[in-house]
Amino acid sequence: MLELRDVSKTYCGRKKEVAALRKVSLRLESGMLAALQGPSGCGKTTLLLVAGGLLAPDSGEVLLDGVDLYSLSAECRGRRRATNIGFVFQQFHLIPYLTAVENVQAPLLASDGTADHKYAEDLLERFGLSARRDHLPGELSTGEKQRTALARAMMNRPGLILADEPTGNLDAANAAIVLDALEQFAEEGGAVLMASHDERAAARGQQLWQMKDGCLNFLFFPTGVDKMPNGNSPSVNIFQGATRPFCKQPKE
Amino acid sequence: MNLWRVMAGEIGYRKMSFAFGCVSAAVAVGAITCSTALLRGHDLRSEKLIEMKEARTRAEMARMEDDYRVIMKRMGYNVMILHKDQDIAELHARGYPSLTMPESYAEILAAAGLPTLNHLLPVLQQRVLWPETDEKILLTGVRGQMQLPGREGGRAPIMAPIPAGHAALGNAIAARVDVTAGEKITLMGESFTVERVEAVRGTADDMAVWVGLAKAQGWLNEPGRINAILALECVCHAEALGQIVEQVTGVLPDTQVFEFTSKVQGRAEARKRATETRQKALQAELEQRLGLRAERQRLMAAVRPLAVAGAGLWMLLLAYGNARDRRSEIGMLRAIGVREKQILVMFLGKAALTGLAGGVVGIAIGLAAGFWASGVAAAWQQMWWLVGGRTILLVFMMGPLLGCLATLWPAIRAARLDPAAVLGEE
Repeated sequence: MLELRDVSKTYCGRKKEVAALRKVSLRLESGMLAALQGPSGCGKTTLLLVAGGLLAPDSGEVLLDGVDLYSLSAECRGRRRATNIGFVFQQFHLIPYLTAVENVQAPLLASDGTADHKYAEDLLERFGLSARRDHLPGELSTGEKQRTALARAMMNRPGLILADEPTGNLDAANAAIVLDALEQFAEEGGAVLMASHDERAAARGQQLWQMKDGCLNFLFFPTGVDKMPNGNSPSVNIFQGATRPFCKQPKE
Repeated sequence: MNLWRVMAGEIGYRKMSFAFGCVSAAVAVGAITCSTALLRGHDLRSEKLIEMKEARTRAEMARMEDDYRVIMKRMGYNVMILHKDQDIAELHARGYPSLTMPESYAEILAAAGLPTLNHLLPVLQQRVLWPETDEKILLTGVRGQMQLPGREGGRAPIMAPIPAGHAALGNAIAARVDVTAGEKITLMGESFTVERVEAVRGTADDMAVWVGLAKAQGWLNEPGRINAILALECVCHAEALGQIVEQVTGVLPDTQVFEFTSKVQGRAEARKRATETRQKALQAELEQRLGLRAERQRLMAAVRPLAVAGAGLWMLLLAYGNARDRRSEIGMLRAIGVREKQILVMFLGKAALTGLAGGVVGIAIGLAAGFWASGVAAAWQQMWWLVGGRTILLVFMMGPLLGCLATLWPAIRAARLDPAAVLGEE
């Protein structure tokens, strides 16, 4: 499904360069929910943006279903995003003047017009938002906003969801709803890569990765997980490069 | 879900921004429409004023014409048609024509209906002694004015016919013989009632006695003969003088025309001068209006681009602020695969709608203000017609065009917004 091979990304600041990703490799198969932990500024969001085809790496490859996203034109990459990837953000990024159902349908703007508009209603019902379908984001609670954003991410039936701190602004109950939904998405055959500080989120991951100073390190499989939903052993889903306990730390 | 729904939702959500955009477009379109309407209104008003003044001039000229006609009529006949061999020197020496011509000439001339001749009066004149008073008088036989086809309806004749048994006396001879209207006189052994005493004319007519033509022809032994046809020549311009000679001799080859030129020319020249004065006044008015128009046109030439540029700049700033406010939304839309072109359509579509709405308001206000300011009272349909469909169409298109042009740069910036930059800001 998603594979990152030796991906590096450096931001050039005015005074110094910041290496956000250092030869990061990762492989995520369908049916897997991977949690990504790390302190602020360690490169989690950069990793998600690179994986989502939004930020070109300086080196390395990002393969989605075997196709290197950055070998495609910007338009083709956009089309790939529209059809294969769903995004969930900590700040929701709902369009303030569209109702809940219209926000869920927003990905249809990028589709070829054959999309199923009714599916938005199903998603709202699934996330307990049917009664809120015609409400503007300003009239929704924080939890409802995130659920709406999650429904939007699933609208085009993507194979991969990239979630950046999806529970960052939520209370325990709403966080559980969101995590349940992501888990269910993975169980139904999707892949989820979720960056989060939240221990509850980390506990849901079938893989737990930690980032530090731009390096990605595989930590462990959470307790009780020894088989992937597709029946494979978790170990075969882990790309070779990512099994190193820690990558070489940069010199101080 | 489509882009139009997104546009409509955004317009409804940011009403003030939309309203300010509309006002900007309305100002630009209104300035163009108003200035056009003002100039057209000015033209219309000028046209009406000039038309009104021309009508007034025509009426005054007609009144003046009538006044002249009356004055000239009071001055008496200004043309005398004589036998072609009549010696003018002899005419002046005798005070009346010595040669006679057939009375039927008067009928022929009247039937010809020459437009420049009025009040045809056939006469037979001769200076004779009034034996009963021993006074020398100008005996004048008249038969009354000829009826001209299609003219003189209701107009009083210069010389009214003298009924049988009556006579009219010139002012001087009446004084000398001491008679007044209604009294009896004896002339050539016959008794006559004095029909009237003419007013002082200062001519030989003051010593004239008018009797019926047949009576005079009998006394002077000239049956069926006359020695002059008096007429009132009506020419409107001095240049027309002389034409009458050709016209009359064309009808009556055996005659000549003797004009009292000074009278005719004076009349024509006075009228010509009055016309010229009027025309000069009209021309001055026209020039003043044209000067005022040119001044307004210069002002408009400065105001129009300023209004358009100001409105365009304001729309640009609004669009720039709008694009900045929508960074998060645009970033998210780009992230989920919405294309640059679609973002451009969203911004430019809204700009076109803003320009269109503002343009419609601008046209309406501009038309009303323009015509109000130019002082023309016209119905809406007339205003529309006066400004012109093409102008209206152009300014109608101008609103959306201005909106799109002003929004183009912010729209391109928004379309090219890097979603990673926006989403990474979290």
